[in-house]
Amino acid sequence: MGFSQILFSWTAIIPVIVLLYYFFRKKYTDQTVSSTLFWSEIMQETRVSPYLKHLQKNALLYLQLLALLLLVLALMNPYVKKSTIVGAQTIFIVDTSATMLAGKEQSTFDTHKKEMLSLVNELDGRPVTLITTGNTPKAILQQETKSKDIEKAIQELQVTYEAAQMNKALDVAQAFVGNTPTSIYVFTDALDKKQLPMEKDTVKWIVKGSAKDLTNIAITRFAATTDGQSAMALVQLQNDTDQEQNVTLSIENIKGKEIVAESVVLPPNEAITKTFKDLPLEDTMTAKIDAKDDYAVDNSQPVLLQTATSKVVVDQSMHQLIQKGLQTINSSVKIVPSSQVADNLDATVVTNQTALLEKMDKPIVLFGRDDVEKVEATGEISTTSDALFAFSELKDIYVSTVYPGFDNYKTIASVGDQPFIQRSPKGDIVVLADIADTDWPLHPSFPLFLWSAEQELSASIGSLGIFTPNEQRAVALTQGDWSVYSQEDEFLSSITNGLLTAPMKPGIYTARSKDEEKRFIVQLQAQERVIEKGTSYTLGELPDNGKEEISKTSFVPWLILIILVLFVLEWEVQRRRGFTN
Amino acid sequence: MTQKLLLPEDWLAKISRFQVATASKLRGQHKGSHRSQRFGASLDFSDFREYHLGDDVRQVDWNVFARTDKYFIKRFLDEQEMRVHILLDTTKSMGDQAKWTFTRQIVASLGLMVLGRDDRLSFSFLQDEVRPPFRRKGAMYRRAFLQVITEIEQATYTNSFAQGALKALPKDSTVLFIVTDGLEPIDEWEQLLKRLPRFAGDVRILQIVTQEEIAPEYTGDVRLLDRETGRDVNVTMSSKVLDTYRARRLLHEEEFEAICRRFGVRQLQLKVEDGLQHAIFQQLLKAHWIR
Repeated sequence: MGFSQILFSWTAIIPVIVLLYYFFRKKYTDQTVSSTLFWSEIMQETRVSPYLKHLQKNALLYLQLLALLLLVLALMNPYVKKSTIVGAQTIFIVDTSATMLAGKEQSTFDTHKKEMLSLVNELDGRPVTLITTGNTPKAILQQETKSKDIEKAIQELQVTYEAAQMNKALDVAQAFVGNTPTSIYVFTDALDKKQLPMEKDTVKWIVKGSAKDLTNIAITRFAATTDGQSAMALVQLQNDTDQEQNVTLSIENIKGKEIVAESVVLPPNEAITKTFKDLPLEDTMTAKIDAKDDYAVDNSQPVLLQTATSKVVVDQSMHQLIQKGLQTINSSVKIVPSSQVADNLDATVVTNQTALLEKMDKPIVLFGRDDVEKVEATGEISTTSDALFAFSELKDIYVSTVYPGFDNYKTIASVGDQPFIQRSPKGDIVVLADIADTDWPLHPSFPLFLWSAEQELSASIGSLGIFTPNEQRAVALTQGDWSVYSQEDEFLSSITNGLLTAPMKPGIYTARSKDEEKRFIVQLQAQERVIEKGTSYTLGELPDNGKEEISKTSFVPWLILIILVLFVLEWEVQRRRGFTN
Repeated sequence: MTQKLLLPEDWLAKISRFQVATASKLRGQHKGSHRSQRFGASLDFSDFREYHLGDDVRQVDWNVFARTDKYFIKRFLDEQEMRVHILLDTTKSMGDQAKWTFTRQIVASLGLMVLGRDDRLSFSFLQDEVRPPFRRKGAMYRRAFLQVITEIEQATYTNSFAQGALKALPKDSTVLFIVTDGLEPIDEWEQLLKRLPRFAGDVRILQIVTQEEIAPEYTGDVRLLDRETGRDVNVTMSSKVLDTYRARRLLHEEEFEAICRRFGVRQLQLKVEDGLQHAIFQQLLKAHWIR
């Protein structure tokens, strides 16, 4: 036998008080007087209503009745259901992509953070796992029970601007579920029900989305190029609202000075493209719109211009069409015999010599391979959303044979299920087919592809290229200590082993060493420029388990305390009335 | 024996020097020892008056006729008796031992004074059953009166004094003495005093108080029991409470005096602690109630 509420032993002071009352009660001596006429007059209380007088006379009765009623109520054990979290453990999956910054008065991210903190209060000691999304989902808290640590971790959550990549986070969450009844809260803007894995029945999914009516006007594409004397810019704006919007589009240079500004009328739910010619030469430009929407991050976008004219070196053994194509887009194309290609160290090389992939420091463009045999290819062309295909859509291209792809390269286009175009980790672009085996040159996307490739690679002369937030990429840098600085010259990080980890926030950054400096920009990925309509829903039910009892708060201790106070009051009344002995 | 306890032996002698003084003209029918300004049949010469037809011939003063040759009648002062009524308040509030003894002593003294002058004395007190009051005239009945007084051992009347008093009063007294302690609500006194002029011309109230009533000195927690009604009041004594009581008591006294003045009733307050001698020989004398 033990005491479950031993803390209540302090109430033993109440009987002690009553005992003291008894011993120190007033003892009245009797005195006979001729008349108590005046005494009763002066001892009489002020005029009170008859009800109060009645109450005063029967005070003891009413106090007793009240105490007994409360006892009856206490025996019925009233409680309030406090917590709404079911299950033995909880997992929070937090979407930290850029679209979470959208919101009317408060960004969706902050709203979710507040909700998380309020849920933490209802936990009552159950373990919490906190997972953030991104390219590599991170479990910030694992089965944590201390509420202080949980709250601290939630407060420190930040938006990382990466693409959402919910599937990876969901998989990580699954790993923590095990067999215990779990409630998983997904804090995102929108998640399709189909994406939730419903294999386990011990899991209850609660998806908290963003508000439904968020508006967004975005700059979806911004590209600039130069012909040596002046620059040209192309801006594509998207209006995702149902109303016509009037925005001012301005392009600023690196110092924030406005180069050009134009007022644009955007019809609802449409995209408008604007071009600007004869702009002064700058190496970076930022396009901004002053739209008042709920998502501000996509209202500005930087772009890099390479001021130095890029040099392209084409292998002589390449198909004529490649040479011609490159010549149309870039005047300084050199055709070099195959043996001399390797000598060009600071130009973009277009060749089919696979060996140069390793040999060259700078990324190259490989058309076809010279070290393996080609194989038959059947199937449709399919592409991923890579930056190379931003302006050139590969559709309806016929490819008859392809070379086998490289194992550790990322495939950005494939024929059927065989890789067609790949990207190496170093940045080389590999087209795994001879141009003669395809009908690609007949399509307009061919020169556009060449241009994109050339743009990308030559951008690395004066600049390190375009990164997505938190992207890690190998960059071609000379020896030395390189550090990353923000636009305001604030030191952010340093580059180790040739791997540059781009900062989180989109913008223009500089990598500096002792004597050189190169620029690069961090841009939001395309899917982060569109906000989906928010959805919130719940899926799955957990069987009721006995753990529910914890969340009930009972009133009984308070009731008993009130009853004890009433008893003390009764003794006070008794004391005033006088004791009978 | 009890007589001895009530009044000292030589008291009778001392008292008999005094008589009740009153300006009231109301006189009784019978002959008494008080000279009245009316013309009556006594031996004291008062005045001459011219003879008119119908006057008593025996009253003609022949000496004057001899000298002046005109007929004059002699007129004599009348002697009338004084009727004094003493009403004793026998409500339980008078029951305090010292107070009761003192009250009876006063009543006895007054009564002896009246009887000693051959005036008619009537005495009544409040009682539950109605009995004929004491009505005697003449010094012979002094002892009897004393006996009556002594026999009222306890004050046992339980109802309100003011209401019961009217039943115990005779009509047409010259002087009415009410001996009481005045511990009734002023409204009831007002009711009583309003009706009194019917009963007597000269109404006098003797208020018997004790020092304890005027300025009590209790301490601590006291349960006060009313002698009359039996009610109890629990009082925690403090100087503030005592001061409040004294103020209230003073207020009552003032109201009582005011109401007596309003109805033309003379009022005198006698303190038990001051003693019988002081009360009679000084207070009553100074107030010209006796001479």
